[in-house]
Parts: sequence; structure tokens; C-alpha cells
Amino acid sequence: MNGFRLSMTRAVPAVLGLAAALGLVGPDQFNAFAAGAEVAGDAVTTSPYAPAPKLTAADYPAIAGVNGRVVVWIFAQLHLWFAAFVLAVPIFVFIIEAIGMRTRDKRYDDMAYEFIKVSITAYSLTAVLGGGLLFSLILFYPHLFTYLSTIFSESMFYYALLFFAESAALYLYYYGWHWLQGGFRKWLHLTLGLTLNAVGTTLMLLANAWLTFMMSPAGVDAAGVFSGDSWAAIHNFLWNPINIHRFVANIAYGGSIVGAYAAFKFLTASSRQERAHYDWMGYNANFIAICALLPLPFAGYYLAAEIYAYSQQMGITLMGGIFAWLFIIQAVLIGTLFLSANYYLWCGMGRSDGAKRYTKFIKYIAIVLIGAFLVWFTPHTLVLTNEELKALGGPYHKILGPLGIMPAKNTAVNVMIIFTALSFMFYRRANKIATVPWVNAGNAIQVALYTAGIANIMFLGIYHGYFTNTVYKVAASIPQVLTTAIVIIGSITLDSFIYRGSKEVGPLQWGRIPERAQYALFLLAVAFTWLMGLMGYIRSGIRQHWHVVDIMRDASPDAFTPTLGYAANVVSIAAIIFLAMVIFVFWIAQVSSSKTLPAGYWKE
Amino acid sequence: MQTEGTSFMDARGYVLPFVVALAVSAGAFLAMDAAVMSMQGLSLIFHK
Repeated sequence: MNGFRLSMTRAVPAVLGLAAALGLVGPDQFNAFAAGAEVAGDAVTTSPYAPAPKLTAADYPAIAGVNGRVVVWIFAQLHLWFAAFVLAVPIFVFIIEAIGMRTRDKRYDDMAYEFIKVSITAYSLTAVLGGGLLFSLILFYPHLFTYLSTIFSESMFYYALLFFAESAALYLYYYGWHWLQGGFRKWLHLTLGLTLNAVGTTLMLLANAWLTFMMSPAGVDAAGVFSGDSWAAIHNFLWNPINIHRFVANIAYGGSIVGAYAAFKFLTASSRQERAHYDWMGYNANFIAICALLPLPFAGYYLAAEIYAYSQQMGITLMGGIFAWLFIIQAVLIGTLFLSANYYLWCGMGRSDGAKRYTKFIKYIAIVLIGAFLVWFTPHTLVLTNEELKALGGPYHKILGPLGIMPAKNTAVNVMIIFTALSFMFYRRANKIATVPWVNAGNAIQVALYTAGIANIMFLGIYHGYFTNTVYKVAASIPQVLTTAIVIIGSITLDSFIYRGSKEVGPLQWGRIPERAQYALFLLAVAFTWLMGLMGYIRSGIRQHWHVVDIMRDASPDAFTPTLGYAANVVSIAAIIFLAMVIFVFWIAQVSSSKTLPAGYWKE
Repeated sequence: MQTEGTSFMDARGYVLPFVVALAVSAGAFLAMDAAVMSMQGLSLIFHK
């Protein structure tokens, strides 16, 4: 129980470290406490902590013939999907509520309430699945759990306390929605939303520390003996890259799930008003998902680069070894996300009579997106039979082989992102007529910006990708990303000036969208779910035969990397279970607003 | 119906800003590329 002692020298830096990460206290305050802790630590000559245990197969209990790894895997995956959903929804509910307060448009407030209503049931399921994960870890991996809970005793304790705080904030936020309306009360309600998000994000940061410690352990020596510095263990090398990636991905994922909810409600709507409402809700959810989807590949690229920086071996296993083929599946799924998000936008242009001016460009955007999509999932080497190898003259295809390297993928993904932004801009313009006298010049500048930006991305991708060395290839990816950001931000800013004081072609016809567009929203949610499962498997799988990389070896009978087919099957089964539970959540949300009046049942 | 005059005016109102903006954007992007590569200790043009 040594690890559970809450001495001030360890507890204070942990809390301050977390606060520093959240920007609540400055580095000086944190360093002062850290220095104090160091002095206190020096006085202790022998560590109260034991090294990481060296296990044998007998240390892993066999229970009822169940495969412990698969049980933990499925519980962890289901918990993560729901956690991503319930962490993301309050973020954009808070934003939508704030928009409603600023515009005084009650539709936003109603939509925000409906979003949070959906997440209430999901929140309970997240907790239930979290409990399932905890029990399965204790039962199937007791020594690993003991070791981790010794190192993270403090953060686990605060996690439990924060969980209470999150529950309280969520219930007050949801059940107090109609009570806290108007003036000061509304501000109080918004503050509750902010508190809920702050607590939820802190929970995610803590849990991220536990999993990244297993990948890039810190605060322990080579034998796994804990130094007693909780902040060092939390602030390990891969913590922030995962934090950024998960934060952005959760928003995109949450948007896609509530988009699917809106699609479900749209398809089952019985009146025109209802269809219009859920069409508007689906549009907003898709908009949120796209906004978060655009920077997501860059956050993923940063995470992968940091994994390489931490351990080249882990990096090569990630993208050059056994898991490389899962990245091809990843490319297919992300391409699917981009295509379905764009398709939904194109269908949505039908809401405006002015969209005809832009529909002629859609086919060109589609051609570019599909071209970039094909480049993105072209593999570097192919899985071939001997006959095929002989016919091809080697594992590399002469023409398509060069498209298999990262500079080609980076170029393709940047182009896809720029053209998705272009789709969104056309959608935005569809119902507007610019009235500024310099509209032609403004359009010309926008076209020039896009042209120069795409040319620059191609230059960086082709010249640095194929005519320089590896250092240049990697370095050139940064100006590529910056170019994409400049083109998107520059063109949207310019567009807002061009359309300042614009006239509307006519009222937007919410609900005037083909039903097939709703299936694009379903596809978005399903592709996201599957993608997160597969990529989560890769992130965890690159530890290979280690529980904690280089510190604690996995000696269980399952200490091997399963085949990709097997892993894909486990993830797919988990995805089906999750989606079935999501349908249940949607159904519960629908049932909660239904009423039955049984005539003659109750006394008058 | 556009006359030759208005078409010419449209061309001036569109083509000229396009050419100027293209030149400026391309120059700015190349300057940014050089600056970012330089920050990483590299030059824009590869030297063996």
C-alpha cells in the first residue's frame, strides 16, 4: 500500500503538474514544488517502490476458459468509444449554447439540449463499461494492474474524485437546462457547461497518462522502480501528442455520432417541420465533424513523428512493419470519411435555389478527391505470389510504387483537405449573392490563393519527396501543412468580406435533402468507429511483447501480435456491439419523449 | 448580352487581380517554405 500514501511532496506536484498542463498555474510555481520534492527525495536512500515484476505464464489467471486479452480489448475499446462520445458532445453543446446566447436564436438552445440528452444514456454506459474494463484488468492482469496503480495511485485517486465532479456537473447541466434560463441564470448554466468540459478533459488527460506510460515510461528507472515523481510519470514523452490527437478526434467523432442520430431522426420523422429540424441538426453535426476532421491528419502525423522520435523501433513497427497494412485500411477509411462528408455537403446544396451556380464544379472536386484518395491508399509494396513477383520484376510497381511513400500521401491528404474546404465554401455561398463592388477581384484573389497553395504543396511533395534525402522529405511536410492552413483560413476570411452585406437567393429549404444523404451521415459514424478501433489496436500493438515498453514484459500466453485478420475481426465485433448500443441510446432518447395515455387506466 | 467593351472590363477586373494575387501568393509561399526549412537547419533547394 506504499503507493497509495498521499504525502504532500508527491501529491502537490501531481496536482500542480496537471494544473500546469491545463494552464492554470505557471511553470515557476510547479518548479518550486518539484525542487522541494527533489530535496525531500534526496533524503531517502532506499526507494519504497519495488521494481516491475518479472512474470511467468502462471501469473495470469485463467478464468472460465475465457481469453483475457480479448475481454480486456473489447471492454477497453467500448469504453473508449463511449468516453470519446461523452467527452466530445459537451464541448460542442457548450459552443452551440454560447452561439444561441449570442444570437438569441432559441433553435440553437433546443439543439444543444437535444445533443446533451442523447449523451446522458451514453454517459451511464461509459461508466458501466469503465467498470467492466477495471474488473477485467484486475481479474486477468492483476500484476500489471498492481504495478500501474502503484505508480499512478494519486492520479487514480483524483480520477475517482473528478468522476464524482463530472457526474454532478453533467446532471446539473442537463436537469437544470430549463430551470437556468434567461439573464444571469443562463450565464450560470453556461459556466456549468464549462466546468463539465474542464473536468471531462482532465479525466481524459489522466487516463491518457496511464496508457502513454505503457508506451513511453517515465519517472521509473531501467528496472521499473518508481522515483516517486508522479508528474514525471504523467508527463511522459507521448502524453501530449496523444492528448492533442484524442482531443481533436473526439470532437470529430462526437460530431459524427450525433450526425447519425440526426439522420436517424430525419428518416423516422413524421412531419415536415420535424424533417427540417433534424436536417438542420444533421448539417450542424456534420459541420462540427468536418471542422475537427480537417486538422486531424496533422495531429496523427505529429503523434506518429513523436513515436518515431521516442523509439525508432516502435516507429518502424508502426508504419513499416506488420501494422503498415492497417495504415492502408486507415487510408481507405479516412478517404471514406472525406468522401461521405463532401457528398453530404453536395446533397445539402439542394436546400438552396442558388446552388445551381456551383453544382457544375462538384464533378471536378469529386475527381480530385478520388484521385487523392487513390494515391493515399496506394501501398509501397504489394503482397504477391511468386508468379506475380516475377511478372512485376520485384515487390514495387514501376509506376504506382513511388506513390507508396509518405511525401505522396502527405501531398494527397493536403489536397483532399483543401478541396473539402472548397466544397464547404461553395455550400456557404450557394444561397448568397455578393453585393460588394470588388466581387470579381475578390474571387480572382481566392482562385489565385488556391492555385498558388496547391502548386506549393505539389512542389514540396514532388521536389522534396523524390529528389532529396529523408531529412528533407520529413521537413517539407511542415510547410505543406502550413500552406493548407493558410489557404483555408485566407480564403474563408476573404469570403466573409466578399459576402458581407450579401443578399439571400431565397429562404433555405431545410428538409429538402435526399434521404441518401442521411446514409452518408451513417457512413461517417461507422467509418469513424471502425477507424478508431483499428488505429487504437495499432497504438497498443506497437508495444509488442511488453506491458510497459522495456520495463515490464508480457509473459501471458497472449504475448504475441495477432494476425491482422484476427485483430480486424475483434475490432469489427466490438464495433458492431458498440453501434448496437448506440442504436439503443438513440431509441431511449426517442422513447423518453413519447407518451401513452391509457384511457380508463387511472382513477379520474 | 455582353459587349466587347464589358468583356474587356470583366477581364481587367478579374485577370489582373488574379495575376497579381498569384504572383504575390506564390512568392509568399516560397518565402514561407524557405523560412520553415531554414528553421529546421535546411535550405529550400537541396544540396548534397
